[in-house]
Amino acid sequence: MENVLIVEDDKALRSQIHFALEENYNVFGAGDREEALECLDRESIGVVILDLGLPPHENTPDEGIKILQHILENLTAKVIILTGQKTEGVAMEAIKGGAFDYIMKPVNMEKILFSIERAILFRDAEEKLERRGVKKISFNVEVGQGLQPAREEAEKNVVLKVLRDTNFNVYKAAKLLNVKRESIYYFMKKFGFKREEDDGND
Amino acid sequence: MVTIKLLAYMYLFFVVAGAVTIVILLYLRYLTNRAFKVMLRMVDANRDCNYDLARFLPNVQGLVKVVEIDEVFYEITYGESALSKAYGGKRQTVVREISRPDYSIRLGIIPLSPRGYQKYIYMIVFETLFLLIEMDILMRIKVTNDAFYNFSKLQAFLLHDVKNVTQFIRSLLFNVDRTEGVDREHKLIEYLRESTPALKVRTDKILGTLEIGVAKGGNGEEKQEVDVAGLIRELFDLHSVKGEVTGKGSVLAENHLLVTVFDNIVKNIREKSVAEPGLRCFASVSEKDEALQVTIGDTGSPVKEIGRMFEPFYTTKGSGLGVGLFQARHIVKNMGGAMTAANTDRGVEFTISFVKAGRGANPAEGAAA
Repeated sequence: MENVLIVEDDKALRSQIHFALEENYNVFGAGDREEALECLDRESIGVVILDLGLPPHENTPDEGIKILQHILENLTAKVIILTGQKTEGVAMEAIKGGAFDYIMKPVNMEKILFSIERAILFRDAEEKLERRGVKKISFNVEVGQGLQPAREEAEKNVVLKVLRDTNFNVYKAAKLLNVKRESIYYFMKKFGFKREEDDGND
Repeated sequence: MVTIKLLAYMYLFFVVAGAVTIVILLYLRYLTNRAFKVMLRMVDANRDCNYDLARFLPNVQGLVKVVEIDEVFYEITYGESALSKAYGGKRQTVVREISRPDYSIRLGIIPLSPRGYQKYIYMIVFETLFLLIEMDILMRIKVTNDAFYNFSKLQAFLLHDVKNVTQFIRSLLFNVDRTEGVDREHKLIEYLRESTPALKVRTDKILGTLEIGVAKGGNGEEKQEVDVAGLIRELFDLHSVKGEVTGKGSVLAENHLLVTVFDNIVKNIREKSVAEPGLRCFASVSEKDEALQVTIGDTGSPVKEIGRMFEPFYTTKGSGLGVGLFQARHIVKNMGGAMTAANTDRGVEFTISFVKAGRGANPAEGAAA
């Protein structure tokens, strides 16, 4: 069964969604960012149902957006935003960030279940493609700015993904991308990539 | 002889000149005093009209008559309001206008004697009137903008909670419709038993927010003996706050109001603990004679501007509404109690005192007795 994480600070609501899902999925719950990150670290989560307004800032999407960014940068889980934050900016930020779906509360449970099924379908398809060596890399560009920014964004995302997958092993990354190691160093310098552990030492 | 006569004339001249100067000075003083009196009357009239231009401007005509201003006319627009009094005559006028994105003012006067010191006096009065009008408009715009801003903030907070409750109901309905078998039914009941206290806190919070500023008579029907120490322990658990609650005591009150009071305090501590991980909290409840005293606080850093903590819509958190503690104190006061906050050696402490067992909790009863 697929692992589903519900990140929702409202305990009563979380337990009802938990109950609705638990017959078909392994369900985990988290009430804030700390609990969510712990669970994501511990379990192999396939789908995250994420409320954006979490303590201690329930009335801003900040906490939820941080979790979303963490997932998109480090994990393959699909994120379904389930939130009451009805601002265009928030939705834009979440979708731009790479959320799989954005659902406004209140919504019928059927819609949540349907979205989870679709998320799993997409994730499975991506995993199959990945096993064949095809990696999905998404990026946002403004159409009308010419091809140069799009090319740079694509380069940046491809190199970053491969570097992360190889734990910043330049030799392996160069081999995977079929380029010289100097090229990888060049990209790292150009886009300012650093190993995660290096950031903390700066 | 000639010299003596000359001196006598000179003396007479100085005496007359001095007298004339004194008369002129007294007259100027009289005019200036009159102008000041008119200005003060305008300020008073403006205050008496509650800074409402629609009420104030019709009174201006009568006030400025004494400083040689025959008529006042104006065209004023701000927000959705427009005030005007036209002048279509051909007499000499003095006009001043200002146009800003939020408002425009065109103020004019018709002076009776537009010369000399009189002109100086009526121009001072005219400028004062113009400033009063502009201040009234700016004040009204600010008050309106603040009210809308705070209202929309309050609405956003309520909306967030109401959406969660609605989502809970929809999810529950979905689960009730599809639950089959005794085991699943028992499990659903178990889930509800575990989670409904949190739901109750949320609905109490909604109710408490909607009741801000609403004077409640209270009929005593919903009041119950609330174990305050137990309630604080529950809230510590609910918000995952580590701390000790000592003592015991109860008060006769509407439970949801007490939940709102202590939930706001505990939530503040919880939010503070995110930035100050080593922070601990404490609470003590004690009964003395007819009073119940609760001290609740944290060992964290002192609060800047602690005197403003209970001010409505004052918040140090970017995402805060700033009504939680205002609401808490408002409820405590309505119950006949008192609530204070202070930076102490231990940390930040809230002290709340209640009148026990119904006294103060229902002032109508006390009055009848």
